[in-house]
Amino acid sequence: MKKRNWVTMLFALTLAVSLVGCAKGESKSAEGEAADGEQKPVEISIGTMTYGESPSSDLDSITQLNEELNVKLDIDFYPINSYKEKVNALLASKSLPDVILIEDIQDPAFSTATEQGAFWDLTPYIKDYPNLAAYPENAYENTKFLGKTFGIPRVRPLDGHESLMIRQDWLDQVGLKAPATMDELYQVLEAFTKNDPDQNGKNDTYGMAQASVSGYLMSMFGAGTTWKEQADGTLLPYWMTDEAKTALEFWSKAYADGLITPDLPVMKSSQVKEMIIQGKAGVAIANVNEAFMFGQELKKIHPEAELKAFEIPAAPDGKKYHEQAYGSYGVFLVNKLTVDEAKLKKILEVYNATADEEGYNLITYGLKDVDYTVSEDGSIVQTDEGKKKAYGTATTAQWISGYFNKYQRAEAPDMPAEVKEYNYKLIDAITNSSVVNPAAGLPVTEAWMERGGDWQKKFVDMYTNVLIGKSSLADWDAFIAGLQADANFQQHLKDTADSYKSK
Amino acid sequence: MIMQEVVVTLSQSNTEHAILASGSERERGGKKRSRLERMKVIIAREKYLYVLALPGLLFFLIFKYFPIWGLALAFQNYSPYLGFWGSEWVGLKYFYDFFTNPDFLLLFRNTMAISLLNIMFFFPVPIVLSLLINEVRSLKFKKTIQTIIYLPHFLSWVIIAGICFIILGQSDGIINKIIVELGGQPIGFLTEPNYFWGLLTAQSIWKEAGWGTIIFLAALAGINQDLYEAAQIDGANRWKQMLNVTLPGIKSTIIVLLILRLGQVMEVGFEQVYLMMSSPVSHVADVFDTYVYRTGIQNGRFSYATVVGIFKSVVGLLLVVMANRLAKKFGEEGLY
Repeated sequence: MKKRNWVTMLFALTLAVSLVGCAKGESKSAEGEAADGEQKPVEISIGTMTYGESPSSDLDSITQLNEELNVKLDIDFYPINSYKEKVNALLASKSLPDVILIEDIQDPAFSTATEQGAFWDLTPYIKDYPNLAAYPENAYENTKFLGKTFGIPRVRPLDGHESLMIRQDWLDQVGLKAPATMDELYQVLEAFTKNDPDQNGKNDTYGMAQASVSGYLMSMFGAGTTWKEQADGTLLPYWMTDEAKTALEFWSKAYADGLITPDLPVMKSSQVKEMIIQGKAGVAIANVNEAFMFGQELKKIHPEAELKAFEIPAAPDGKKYHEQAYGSYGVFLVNKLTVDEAKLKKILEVYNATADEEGYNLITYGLKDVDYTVSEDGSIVQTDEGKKKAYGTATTAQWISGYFNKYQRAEAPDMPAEVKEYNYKLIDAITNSSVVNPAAGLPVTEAWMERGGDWQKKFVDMYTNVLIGKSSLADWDAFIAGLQADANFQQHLKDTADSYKSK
Repeated sequence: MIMQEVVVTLSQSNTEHAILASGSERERGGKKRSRLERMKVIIAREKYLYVLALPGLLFFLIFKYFPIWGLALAFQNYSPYLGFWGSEWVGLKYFYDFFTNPDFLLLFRNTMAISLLNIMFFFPVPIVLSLLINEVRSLKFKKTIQTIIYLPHFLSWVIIAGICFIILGQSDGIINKIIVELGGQPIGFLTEPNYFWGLLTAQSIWKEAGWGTIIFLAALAGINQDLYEAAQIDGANRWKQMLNVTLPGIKSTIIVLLILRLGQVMEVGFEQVYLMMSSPVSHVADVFDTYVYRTGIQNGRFSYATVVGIFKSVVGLLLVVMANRLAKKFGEEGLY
């Protein structure tokens, strides 16, 4: 650590010097613009994540946008696996680009900097940009900080990220229907594990593939989305509710009976996909469209297989609970150190231009008929050329905020019409029962900033250990009781409740 | 080879000191020359050596000594946006927080346990390995073995963790598949806290033992062959030769390396622990390095993480000083 700090210090120093240099250069160019009337392109640097390769900044799509808006975009892609560390290091060394994507505005490192005025407050500007202003209200509401909009939300559908993916052919094989209650779900998991649904004569299948513990496992029992409002108007973290304990009893029993992949604590989410497409497990929690996408790969090995997405079964109280997403994944913050108001407007113009379907497709997939083609049913097919240039949702789409498409998570390339229709209906059904996080957009408490990391880790450890039977439910009760008695944690709950009430 | 050179230079500088010391004694009676003048003379005489040393000195000054001021972060509530000059000074607050943290003892225990296991079981392996390789007659065979055992060093921890998951996984791992075929119950090697420290040590040995032999082999090559001849004439068999010629020959290298290793007792290899850590084993796996990563990098508490870093360094320094004293007490040369 010591070494890292030395490096940080050095960086900070050299960058401080270079920043001074940059600032001077910019004011000069601004003067130049005024003088010769012909405006020079505005240089805009953007930092974002990538799930794959790092596309270059001189793609045709970018060149086209540069010319249209008289800008010069310079986009840096950082790999997703170390994104948070990378961004924190950029912040610590004061070398953030003009526009930076951060996953969560409440992240302690960034929330402090935002409070201290490091980023532009976009609240008064958004309304002038029709495409950005057209984003659903929740997308802005959930990403507010101190009641203001600091970031352009990367808009995402509210529902469809949580559904139950089930092997329909296995259900038929064991003579069960899609589970409507938790008891039925248990039966399905049990039958998938013990009744040899793949008919290979070996006891080699699991009911459910699950990588590490997740909030879904509790929220589907009605524990609430991240927080749950109590009768007295205060909030309780979802895992401290009674429903969470019911969920723990259910899942720890399922794990003990061998219905869930035993590697749960050490599995990565990519391994869930592997288990499903290799036909080793019959149930998983996934995006609605992933049932179709995984199914395509599964059929290569098991042509008779059929994967379908379903609603989450009803909790013991008879209601269905899905978590509603925040309506965005990450926000773009605009750096106040390097951006003046004129440049800010230019940046918003860029984001506005890419926030409709046309702009989104240009940036994500490149030039039509060169980098992608549109098939008869209207879905987009990337050409080899386009793939080679690293266009795609995992790469180029990551630096824009995009447009709102409620059914985005129902669609996938090459999807037959009847599957698409089924998925649309499923999303509509999920929307009816999805629960919003009551604390979304509330400020992070001081107690959480100091100790949140520790609490979070202890909770995840305890949750995992109880689920896999290394700790008992009595340990869980003791853990919750310990937090109830912790003055700091109580302060955290009280502050959260206070800001919720005054929201 | 490198260590050999270091040892040689160390002994040379020792003799030089001795000469200087006797020189100054000789002059004590006569005209007393000031320290500065003597320095000047030495510098003038050895000017090319000093010029040669200059880049190294500058490197240490710029990259190692100058940034030490960054440690001052530990006494601040450091905020990157406000920077070093704007951040609030909080005195020993974070030191207090760290030492009163209920997890402190747990972190300390885990770090020490993993490290000591490493020194006990990993450290001797390269020595034994290099002694074995040294006994091999066929040069071709020797080179082949060396190449093969160096190889794992070039694999990253990510890959080794991946291999471990493939071999030891509970639902899919090769070993568990065999156990189940034979009618046994699958064992959660990766999630069983009792196995965790052993697993880490075994991984370290597998990855680094071969690479570790390089220095010892170099030291072995430096042993005077006449000694073996003399031993043979005295009737010593190969075992006796190893005990009485080879081992004493590399003793100082072993001790220097051991002292250096002790200085890193608080560094247990972040990547390895981080990659192998999961909730069921986290109470035996959480060490200072992973803690610093969590609090400092992930939660952005830079000052607090600096405190942990300082603590680690101080402990390391103390151990080096103590080990060096101990080595000297037993008549060894030590580090300095």
